[in-house]
Amino acid sequence: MLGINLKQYRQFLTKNERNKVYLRKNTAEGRATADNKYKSKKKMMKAGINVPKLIARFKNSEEMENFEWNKLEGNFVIKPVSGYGGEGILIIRRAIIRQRADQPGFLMMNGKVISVEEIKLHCLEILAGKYSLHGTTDGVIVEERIKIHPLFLTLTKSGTPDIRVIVYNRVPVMAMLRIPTEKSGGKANLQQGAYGLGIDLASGITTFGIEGKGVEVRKIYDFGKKKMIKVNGIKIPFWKEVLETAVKCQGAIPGLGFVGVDVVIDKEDGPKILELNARSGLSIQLCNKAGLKSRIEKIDDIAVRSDEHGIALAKYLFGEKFSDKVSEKEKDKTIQPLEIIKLKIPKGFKPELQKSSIIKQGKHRVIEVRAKVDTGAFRSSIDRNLAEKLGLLSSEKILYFRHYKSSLGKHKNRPVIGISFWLKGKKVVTAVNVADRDKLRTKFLLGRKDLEGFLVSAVRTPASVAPTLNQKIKKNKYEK
Amino acid sequence: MRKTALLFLSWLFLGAGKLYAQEGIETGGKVVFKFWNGISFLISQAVSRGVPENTVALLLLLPLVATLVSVIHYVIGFSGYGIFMPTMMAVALMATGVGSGLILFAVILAITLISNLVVKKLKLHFWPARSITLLFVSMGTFAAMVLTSYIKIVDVGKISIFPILFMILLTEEFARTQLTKSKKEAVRLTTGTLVLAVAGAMVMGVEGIEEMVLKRAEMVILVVVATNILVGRYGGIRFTEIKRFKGAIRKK
Repeated sequence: MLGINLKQYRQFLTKNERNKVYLRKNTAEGRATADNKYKSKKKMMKAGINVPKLIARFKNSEEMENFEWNKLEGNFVIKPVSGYGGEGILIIRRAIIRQRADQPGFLMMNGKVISVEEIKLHCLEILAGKYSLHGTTDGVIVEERIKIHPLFLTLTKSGTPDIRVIVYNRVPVMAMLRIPTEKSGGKANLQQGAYGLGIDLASGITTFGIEGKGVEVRKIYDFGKKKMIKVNGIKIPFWKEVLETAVKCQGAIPGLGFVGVDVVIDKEDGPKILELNARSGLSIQLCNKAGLKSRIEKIDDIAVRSDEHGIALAKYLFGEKFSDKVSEKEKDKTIQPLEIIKLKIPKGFKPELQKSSIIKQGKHRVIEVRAKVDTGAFRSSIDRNLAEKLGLLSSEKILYFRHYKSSLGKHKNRPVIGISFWLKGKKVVTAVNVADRDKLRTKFLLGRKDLEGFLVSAVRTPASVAPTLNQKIKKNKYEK
Repeated sequence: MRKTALLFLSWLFLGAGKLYAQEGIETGGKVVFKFWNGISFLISQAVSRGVPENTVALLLLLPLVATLVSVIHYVIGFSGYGIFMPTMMAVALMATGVGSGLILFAVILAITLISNLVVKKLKLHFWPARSITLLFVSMGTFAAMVLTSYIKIVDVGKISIFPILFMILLTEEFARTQLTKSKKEAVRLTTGTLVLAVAGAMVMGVEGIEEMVLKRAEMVILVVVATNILVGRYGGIRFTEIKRFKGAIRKK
């Protein structure tokens, strides 16, 4: 239609589809909790999740007037309880003493000075419902301003960057780093003009970037180095903890199956949850260059056992395949029908292996396994025996079970496990299914999912295959 | 359910509707009771007993315009302030006439913006500030009415309180968005509302459509229900989203 291939758009979660998912996965109570910053904060505190400390909460103007504003020393944030899109938020850096000591003022994040009277007026406006989601009367919360992590201080001079993680069914499905700009007025909301940087779920490294609601950016300004830096390759600190915190919060609030969690990273305390969004924005797909719908569909029917299981699913199913190292050496991109891969052994596991020896690959322990390339298969397969020997078949390693139909017409429910291996020096973090390859020569089958960026050569050049294994193959042939 | 709706609509557009519409004309405008046209028959009876025909037609046209607005929103992706604001504005514009209605709206909008600037300096509570703005709008509209009674650009007789109220509501939304979000967003939503309203007013202004809905009330009900079931279950991409997601497709 009109020269546009609409099939390519099926992976994306569109507004219409999002509204359906939102209604299906989130109950009325869950939605109400997410929309109410005070309620969600209380629930998360109860569940032991780190949140910015609550200083005060006002339900009406009397409470607000009675509050001793003069005692505040700064470093606080004023928010509407049911605000949305980052509106109506005042960020105060510190108190400043003016000539008249009875009328103290505060310095805001944008460098302007605000008096206590003006703050009170702002609170009154919030109470009257100026920023409220439903236009009804609202409450005010005052909470501590978090201490920005030094990495983020180099990325922006206005406001606090945060990380939006979309959690679905206890699995983090997508994440982005939101960097406030001068244009966005210190707010980390994309619709206000902030930067959004996609993050690889497996490694916590940024990938692509957008500005506002869609313009792609390739470089942003680094205030530390005082020059433009690439948007990709920034490693988020405390990445594992960020994901854990985000997933935990879904467990703390029942009735939120699809939620956008805003996580900030405190210099000292690590990740803290700023707020929850039951109706998360869709621009996160633009800066990740990936579709939310296809990811959601992948995990929709999986019963997630634990938070760790959810994070493992995200790592192995949605991890990026960084191929920059491979592209440097064009020659290495070609692989043979039979290749040797280096399979990672899980940390702390002692495998009982008779034939193969354990070698070191960087800080990891690996073993060499002969693999057969099969572009007819989507997912790679590993032999059940081999997986068991390497400790990959323990219950916490199994991501889920899937029904597979083999070429012989046998149907079986195979476990799918998450593994890491190196193929021609390229690290592949992926999910593979476990099959009985006991009677087969190759204990590993490379599916096309994990062959991205490689060319499969039909001609076998003996030199490129490791000599020892090559001889073995020949020997087998003669034996027949 | 979805298939039935689709089937009905395609049946309607593939000619059955035409036959159905023509039949009424042949009988000379009088609705004769048949087993399928109970509502139309009831309407014709009510009209003959003194129920204002115009109001009944408007009542039936309202959901039709709302349907149009929802189709444009969910399938094309173009929208204004919700669904009722464009629908109400469409009725308002139809009552005043599209041209003079837009002029009236511009006047009210200008007054609201100027008065907001003044009221902001007084540092009042939210609602008292609104009330003062409303006073300015009332005075301003009155002035505009007096003025137009001398220079005839707007038919003064057509201006009633309800269109003015709707327009005040819309300017209020404009001012609110401008304050809480941004000017750009306010302009976008207000022009969106106006465009949808003009489209709606034009649909309502189509010659013979009033007579058509009065005589074929069942048809209106079925069209509204069927279209909204289809649109309401539509989970696909909106026209404007194609452009938005274009950059997110990875090139292999």
